[in-house]
Amino acid sequence: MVLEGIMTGLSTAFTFTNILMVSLGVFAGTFIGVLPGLGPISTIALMIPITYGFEPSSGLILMAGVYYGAVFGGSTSSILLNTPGEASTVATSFDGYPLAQAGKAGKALATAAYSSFSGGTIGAMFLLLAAPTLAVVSLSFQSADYFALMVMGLTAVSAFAGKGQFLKAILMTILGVMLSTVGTDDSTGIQRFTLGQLDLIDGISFLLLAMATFALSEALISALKPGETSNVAQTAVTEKFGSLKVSKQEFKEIAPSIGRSSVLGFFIGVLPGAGATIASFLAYGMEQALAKGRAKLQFGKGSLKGLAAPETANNAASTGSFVPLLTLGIPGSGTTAVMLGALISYGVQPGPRLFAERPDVFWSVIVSMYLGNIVLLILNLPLIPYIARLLAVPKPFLVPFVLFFSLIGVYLVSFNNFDIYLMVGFAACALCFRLLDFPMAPMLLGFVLGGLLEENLRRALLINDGNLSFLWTRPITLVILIITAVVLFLPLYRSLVERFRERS
Amino acid sequence: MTKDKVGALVILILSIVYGAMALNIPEAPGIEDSGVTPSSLPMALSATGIIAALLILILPADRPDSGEETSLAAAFKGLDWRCAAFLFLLMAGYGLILKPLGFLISTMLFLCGGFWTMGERRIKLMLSVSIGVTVGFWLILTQLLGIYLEPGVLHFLGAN
Repeated sequence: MVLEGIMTGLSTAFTFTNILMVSLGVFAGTFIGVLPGLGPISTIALMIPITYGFEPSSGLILMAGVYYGAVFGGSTSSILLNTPGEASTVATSFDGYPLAQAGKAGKALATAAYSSFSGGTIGAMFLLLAAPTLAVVSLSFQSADYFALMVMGLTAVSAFAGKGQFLKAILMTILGVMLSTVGTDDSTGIQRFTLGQLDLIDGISFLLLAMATFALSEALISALKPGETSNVAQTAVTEKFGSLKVSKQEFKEIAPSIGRSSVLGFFIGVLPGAGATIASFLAYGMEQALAKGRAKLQFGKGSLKGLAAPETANNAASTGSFVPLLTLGIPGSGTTAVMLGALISYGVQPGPRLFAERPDVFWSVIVSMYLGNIVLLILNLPLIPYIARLLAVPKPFLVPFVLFFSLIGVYLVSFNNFDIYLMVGFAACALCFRLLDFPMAPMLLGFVLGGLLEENLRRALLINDGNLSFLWTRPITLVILIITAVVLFLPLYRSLVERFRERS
Repeated sequence: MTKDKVGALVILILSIVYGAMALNIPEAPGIEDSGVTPSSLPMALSATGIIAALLILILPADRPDSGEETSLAAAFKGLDWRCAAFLFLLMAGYGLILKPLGFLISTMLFLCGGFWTMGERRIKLMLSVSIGVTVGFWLILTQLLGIYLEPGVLHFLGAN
C-alpha cells in the first residue's frame, strides 16, 4: 500500500507544474527567510494569498518548499550575522557564526545545506513509513478522541515552551482559543463577541491574525530597535565567502552526527509542541556530550559537528511535525498551524480522512518534501552568496516593504478596509506581548485548534446524550487525556517547586 | 513590576471582560440537550484565563538564568517609539485612502511615507523605488493575475 501511495505521490509531484511549484517555493522561501527577523511562519503567511486559487496539492507542495527554503534562509542569516530569525536556528549560530568569522562562511553554509538535506531526507523516509501507519490507526478515532487530542495539542505546546514560559504559553493559548470564538457560532447560528460589527460575523480570518501577529509585528519590532544589523550585514555580505567545498575527511567526521541527529530530530518533531527548536538544542547538546578530546573543545568555536547536528535535527523535526498534521489534522507547532490554516483555506481538512479521500494530496506532500530537499541543495546552495546580498537591504526600505506586502496580502482576499484596521490593532497588541516576552506561536495554535475543539466536544456530547462519561469510558480518549495530564502537570509542578525554592 | 506580571495583568483584565461578555450570549433554543451552549466554551476559557493569570501574578517572579533584565522599564528602554507610532498611523492611513485614492497612488504614498519614517532622506531614490515596486506589483496583479484593484482618482485619467 505504501508503494502504491508513493507512486501516486510521484505521479502528482513530478508534473511540470508541481516541480515548478516546489522550486519556486524553495527559492521564494530562502529569499524571504534570509531577511533578518522574518521566520518561516511569516514567510508562509506571506505566501498564502498567492496560492489561494491553486489546486490543494500544488498549493501545499509550494508551501512545503517555502517552509524548507525559509528554514535554510534562517540558517543563512544565523551563520552570517549571528541574528537568528527564529528560535530553531539559534543553535546553528553557536558554531556557524564563529566559522563565518574565521573566513569559512562558504564551508559553513555548505555544511548547513548538506546537513539540512540529510536531515530532511532521512526525515522524509521516516514520514513515509510513519504517516500511513498512524493514519490507519487514527481512522478508528471518534469525536471524543479528537477532542482529547486537541486538548493534548494545546497543552503540549505550552509544556515544551521552556523554563519560566509555561504559564505564559498557556495564557497565550487561551487567548488564541478566545479569538477563535469571535463570530457566528456554527451549530446554533448565534453571534458571539462581534460587538455589533458586521465585519466580524464571519469571525477573524486566520491569515489576518497570522500576518498581523507575525509578519507585521516582526517588522515593527525591527523598526523599534534603532540602528541594528545594517552595517554589520554590509560587511558580512561583501566579505569573502570562502569556498563552498566540504572535504571528504570533513564529511566522514560529520556523518555520524548527521545520522544520530536525524533520528532524534524526527521523533522530537512528531511530538506535538516540541518541534524544531528543542530538537536542534538537544542534538547540539548530544553531540557535545559525545565528543571527546580536541573535538569537544571545538564546540562553540567553529566545530563542523556542532553546526551539522542542529541543522540536521531542525530539518528532520520540521519533517516529523508533518506527521500529526497530515494524519490527525493537529498542528504541533506555529509553522504547521499556518500550514493547517492554508490547507483549510484550500478546502482540505487534514486528518485520517485525508489519507483515505485525498491520497493525491497526502502522498504528493510527502514526496515533494523530498523533492524540496533536492531543489534546496542543487539550486539554492550555489546561489546562496547572491541571495545573502539581500541581508544588506537597508532597513529603511525593508520594513515598509514587509508592512505593505502583509497588508495588501490580506486586503486582496477580502477587499475590505476593515481588515487593515483590524490588522493594525492586532499588530499593536502582538507588539506589546512580544516586548513583554509572551510567546506568539501558542496563540496561533490556540486559534486554529479552538474551532475544532468546540466542534468535536459538541459532537461527542451529542453522541453521548449530553453525558461527559466518554471522557473516561472510551479507552483511547482516556489514554490521551492521561498523557495530557502528565504533560501538563509535570512542568507546572517543576515550575512551582523552582519558584518556591528560589524564594527560600 | 516584572514583564510577566504586566502581561498577566493585561490578560486577566481581558479574560474578565471576555467572561462578562460571554454571560450575555443568548441561549439557543433546543441545544440544551447536548449540554454545550454557545456560551459554555467562552465561560470555561474565561475561568481558565483568570486562574492562569492569577497564578503568574501571585507566585514569586521567575528569576532568569542569564541575569537578563525582566523589569518593565528595561524592556521598553531605548526603543524608537516615535518611529513605530508613525508606522501605525501610516498603516491605518493606508486603509483609509486605499479605496478613495486607488491602489497606485495610495501605495506610493504609503511606501514613501514608510521610507521617510524609517530615516531615509534621498527623495529621488525613495520615489523611484516606490514607483517601481508599486507599478510592477500593479502590473502583476491586474495584467498577469487578472485581479481587480480600485482605480480611485486615477479612474479619471483612464487608468485601471
